[in-house]
Amino acid sequence: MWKLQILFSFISIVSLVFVVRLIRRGDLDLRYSLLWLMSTVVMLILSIFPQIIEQGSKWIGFQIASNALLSLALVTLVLITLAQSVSLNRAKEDIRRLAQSLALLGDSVKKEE
Amino acid sequence: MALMHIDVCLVIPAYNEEKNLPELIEELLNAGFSRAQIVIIDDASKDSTLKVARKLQVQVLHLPINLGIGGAVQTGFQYAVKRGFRYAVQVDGDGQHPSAEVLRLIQIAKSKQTDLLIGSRFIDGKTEFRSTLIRRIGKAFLSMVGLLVTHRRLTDPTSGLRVVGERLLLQFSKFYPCDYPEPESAFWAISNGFKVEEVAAIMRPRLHGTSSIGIFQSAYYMIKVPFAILIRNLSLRQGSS
Repeated sequence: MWKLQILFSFISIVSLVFVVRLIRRGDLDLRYSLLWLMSTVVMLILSIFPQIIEQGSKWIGFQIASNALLSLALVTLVLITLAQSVSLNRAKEDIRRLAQSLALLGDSVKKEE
Repeated sequence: MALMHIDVCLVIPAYNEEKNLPELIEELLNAGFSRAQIVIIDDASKDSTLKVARKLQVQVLHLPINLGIGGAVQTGFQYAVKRGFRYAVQVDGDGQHPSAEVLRLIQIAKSKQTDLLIGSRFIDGKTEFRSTLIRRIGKAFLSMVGLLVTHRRLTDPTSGLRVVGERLLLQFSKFYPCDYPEPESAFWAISNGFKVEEVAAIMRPRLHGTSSIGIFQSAYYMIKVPFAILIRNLSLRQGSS
């Protein structure tokens, strides 16, 4: 058990450091990376104290603790993907409006010449 | 005669239409339209559409990136609003819409005071326009979805030949679907209380090139557009109640 704990703690810390580095370098906007930060922190806590999962899953009614963990991971990933779809769509809309105003602006500039 | 229609802007979305544009513009000019009221929107074409369009000395808007037909047409609508036109007619860049029909539709739109007048290929049996069986089934399906949602039947909801009036123009310049916009926007207009009518119109097959819609796109079309019609109208009902 302790081997797993160490392995996953290590993985969590590496991902946490990686995410923080991405934010510091400006490759990841803090606004959209809070979810990632939070999930790595949760991962770290759960790796150090796996009892939380065992007790929690027993309380909710999961037969095996790993099922609770996998469900949690799945839900988190789906939420993150949805959030990204939303921001991607926003970016697309922004780009569309930009392109359109650029086209219209080009017309105005030509008129003034 | 065309001077009567100086308040109409002809919006021509063009993606890789270098071969079709000269004929189309010449035809429109011969019909009596002026260069000042024709606007070509080059949707970041890969061929020399932009050069050809500029040479024709009509108004040209150049989109730096490809937005799809809806985005291009919307740019034309925004232009029409900005320049104070009272009507905009979408004329497809592939030359499917004869000038005589464009002119006739403008007259009808003005006398009937419609917000949206759609030229239909399927009213009155005037269909010289040949379409494949699958496309006809698809269009019938779209009509049915629209009928269920808005309680109005449109015989040709995908028609690109449309006259848009001032009030609706303002709406479309703010909101217009990006891909396959015609059916969605038509039913949107109906369910928002705009006056939408259909009249028979004759269209030609494309002058050059092939239609932009292939098999996979057709499948996407048939899933996306009915969905869009449904969702737009359902969410609207919640909002208005």
